[in-house]
Amino acid sequence: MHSEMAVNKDVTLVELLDRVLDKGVTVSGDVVISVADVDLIYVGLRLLLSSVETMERLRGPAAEDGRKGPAS
Amino acid sequence: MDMPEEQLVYLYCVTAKPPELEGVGDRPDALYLVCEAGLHAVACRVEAREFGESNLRRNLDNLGWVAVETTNHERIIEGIMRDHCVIPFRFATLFNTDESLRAQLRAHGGPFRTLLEQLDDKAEWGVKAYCDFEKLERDVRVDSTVSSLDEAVCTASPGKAFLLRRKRRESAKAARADKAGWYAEQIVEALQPISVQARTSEVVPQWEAEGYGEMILNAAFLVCNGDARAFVDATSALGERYAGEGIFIECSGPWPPYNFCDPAKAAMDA
Repeated sequence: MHSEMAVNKDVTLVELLDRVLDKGVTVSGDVVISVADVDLIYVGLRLLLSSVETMERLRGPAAEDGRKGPAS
Repeated sequence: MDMPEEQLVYLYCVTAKPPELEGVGDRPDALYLVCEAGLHAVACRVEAREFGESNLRRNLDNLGWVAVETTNHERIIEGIMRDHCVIPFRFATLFNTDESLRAQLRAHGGPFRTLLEQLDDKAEWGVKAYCDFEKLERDVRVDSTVSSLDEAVCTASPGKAFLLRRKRRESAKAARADKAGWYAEQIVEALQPISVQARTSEVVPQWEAEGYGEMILNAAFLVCNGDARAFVDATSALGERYAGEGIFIECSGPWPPYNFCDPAKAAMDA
């Protein structure tokens, strides 16, 4: 589906957290940790990460299989 | 399926057709499908000592653990996304048993199926813009209010000059914010015609791209896969157009549609 469209850049951890912790579908039920808890943790992490030198670029899922490679 | 009590079921994503799990993530053998209500959930057994409530909270304080596990989460969903439209779930969506996951699929089957139809053959693309305010500041000096204040400062008495300088600072700040907002708007407007939906999130405080200035736009676009190339080209063209004005534009993708699952989210919150 996307394989021919192998584009783009390094992904920062903040960018990843912005999506996987903040967005995405949540389900209620016997989810073990509450959404409110994750929200709190997320806000803390985001501040921590966006503050100083922890902003290292993550060579994540992306870089390894050639997707989201470094931006030109 | 019976499972040991010390294990939990981790849900990554849901698809409309059964996906191939081979080659997905680091441990494809650990992944399995839970199929219910015409939906296919990609799941994995995880250890309660790692993901159980209190341990999970402790692990979330550990940045190294979070980096590894969120990357793993993303990698698995991206693997599935190669051949299927997915509804991505939030990190650490956990169930006690397969049966409770099934119950959720039954309960939300309708909205999930509708969402999968809407998202079919589309992906999310992230667009962030940064502003080099020092460069922009040079333009701001041309701002009429600011420059007339500059002139007034030169001829004013010391006391008056102090007040005028303060006013100048405030005007310059407002002019900066206006200018940043204007660029953000231009970028979103230019990309909207090539996308199905656009979402802007708040800009991340103090998030500065190395040497590119402060973030002024944090947007996500839902783009048809057939238009992906045109979309990326359009962001590059915008980047070139505004580069001389201190604006830096960054595009990333394709991402699972994390920002475009609200209909399912709304159904869930109801």
